[in-house]
Amino acid sequence: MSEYLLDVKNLSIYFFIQEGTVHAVNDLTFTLKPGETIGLVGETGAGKTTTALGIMSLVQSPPGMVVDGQIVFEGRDLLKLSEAEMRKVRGSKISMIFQDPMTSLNPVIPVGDQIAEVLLLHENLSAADARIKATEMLTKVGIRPERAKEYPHQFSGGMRQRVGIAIALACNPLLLIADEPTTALDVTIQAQVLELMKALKVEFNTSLIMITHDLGIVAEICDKVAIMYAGSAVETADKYELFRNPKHPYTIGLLNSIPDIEKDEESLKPIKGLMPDPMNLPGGCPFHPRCDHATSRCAEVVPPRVEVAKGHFVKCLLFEEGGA
Amino acid sequence: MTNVNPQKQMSKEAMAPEKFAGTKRLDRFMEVWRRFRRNPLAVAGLVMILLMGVLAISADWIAPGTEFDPGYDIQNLPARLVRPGDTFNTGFLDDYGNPIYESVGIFGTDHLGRDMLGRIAHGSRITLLVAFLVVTISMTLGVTLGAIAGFYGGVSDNIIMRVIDVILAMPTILLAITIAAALDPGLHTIIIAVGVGAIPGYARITRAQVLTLRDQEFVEAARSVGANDFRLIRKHILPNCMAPIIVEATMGLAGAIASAAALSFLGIGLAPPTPEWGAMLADGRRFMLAGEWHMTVFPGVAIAMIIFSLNMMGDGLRDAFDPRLRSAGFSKKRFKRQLQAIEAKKAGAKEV
Repeated sequence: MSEYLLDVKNLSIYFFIQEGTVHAVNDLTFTLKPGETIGLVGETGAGKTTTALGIMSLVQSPPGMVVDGQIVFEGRDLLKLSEAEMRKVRGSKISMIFQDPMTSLNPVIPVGDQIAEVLLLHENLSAADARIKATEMLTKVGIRPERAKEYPHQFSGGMRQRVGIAIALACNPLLLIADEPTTALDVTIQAQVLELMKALKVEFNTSLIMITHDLGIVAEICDKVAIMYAGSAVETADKYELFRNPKHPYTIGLLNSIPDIEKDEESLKPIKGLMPDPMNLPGGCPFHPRCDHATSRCAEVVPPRVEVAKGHFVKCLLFEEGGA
Repeated sequence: MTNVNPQKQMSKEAMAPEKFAGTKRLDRFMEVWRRFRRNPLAVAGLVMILLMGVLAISADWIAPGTEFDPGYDIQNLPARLVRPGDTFNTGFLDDYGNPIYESVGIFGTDHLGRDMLGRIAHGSRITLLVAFLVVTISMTLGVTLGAIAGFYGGVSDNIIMRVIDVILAMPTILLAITIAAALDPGLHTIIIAVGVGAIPGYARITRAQVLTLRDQEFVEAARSVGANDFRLIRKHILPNCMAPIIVEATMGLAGAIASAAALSFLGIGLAPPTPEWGAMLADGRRFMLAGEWHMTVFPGVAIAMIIFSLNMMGDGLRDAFDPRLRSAGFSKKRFKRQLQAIEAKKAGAKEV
């Protein structure tokens, strides 16, 4: 087995709808070691969630389809597994925390039972034992065990998200995918939930894919970062490397758009233009219409993935000579 | 301290897990019952239905028949068309040569001298049996079909829903009459005739619910922990659409009773001596203008009352079942008591 827990190679996921083909994920490559945290960062529509669903084999098909690539997890290509085999992976080895805790819990099942469900599905436990373990999980995420009998609507948003975390971690998965877990929460609760995730990640020694559009969260929790643009990772690097030494013009634009607390800034500096329509991506580098350094070649040649420093990959023609 | 049994340690740390582990179906049922109890109209409906059940069970005991009035099933022509409270001439003479007059059951007798109370009581057996069987069968079929159609969509949805549309295209009562006429008369015929017409209602409601629920994030979340389709439907989707299905089922009980009565009224339900309420109504119709009101009023009131009770109970059940409508452990009494306590404290503080 390779040193990587998860090795996503050239993943492409398209949605074939009536109006045309949506290129949601294009030639995405990244790796993740056991215990490591990667942040998938990008604007809305950059294909972050589709990537997560792709790893879980939960892309709705039709219309969605994984057209190319490999997702190697523990040495097995998840895309080649049957649905029944995949069900065994879901929840026990890979699990997911959803964006909106208001809708990701079943309103008519007590939260304790929802945690117990995962355990019943994957571990040989009796119903009573599963419930006992479920209350232990609740205690771990800081909810009083006697509340196991209560229904989701009796909890606040932050508590529900903690229940979601308890469900995701109940079977001690190797990989946890968190799809913008703090977007629906207010800032103070965000911090709490992040702290909790960090602590539990260490306790359970879980790898984490953190999907977010907030570079602050990346700085807080991740080891490395993949900056996604129009469905592919334009830059992948270690967190410190990326923040200190960003290469791709898009990454630089993103970092520049964060106001500096030390400077007296009049207005924000957004990247000009909008994300391209994934149904009609520009040829060559998808970022070239918005790029300050774009040349005529950028519209024609799709930039290859170039390693500019150890573990620092960029997809941009500016750095072409440096690599292969 | 490394080899502490984690199980033991855990249970010491929190007593509640065992308590939670013990929550079974019964507890869940008690919770629904607690909320149901707070709705007086619904409880009244339930009581009425229970009384009807008692009536059905004790029918033989309520109307055992007398020497001159053998009961609900056997003709007794001298006692025909006796109104409630009246007496009739038995045709026998006492020792002094005077005719013997006898009283009849509190609901009077019908045109063949049969005791109306006894017939109503025995009729309730048939009514309840038909209603529950019709609903059970049509609900099971309808919900299953609707869930499959809604969950899988595409071809299965098209096939199932087109068949449902065909059934819906025919007026329910005509469909029932056709089926009843085609099959041998009997209880099973009524059940099939009425039941088939009820399937589309359940199928459509279930399908509509499943369609909105299947794309909800919690279903995706359940899928992401490894649940299969059957489990998704049974554990996550169907419990979320129970409220409208239960309402439809209680209303369906009422509808089944009305339809069965209508079939019997038209003479294609159960064969004549059977004391079916609809058939009794049809018999009484002929004597209504002659002033024999009791032959139509009692079966009519019986039908109306059970349907009314069922509808009220249905409303109550819907509110009790839906956890989103529940006010967690809220009791008006307790709230009032707390309020009084606060008031008392305030008053006490003022005095000091």
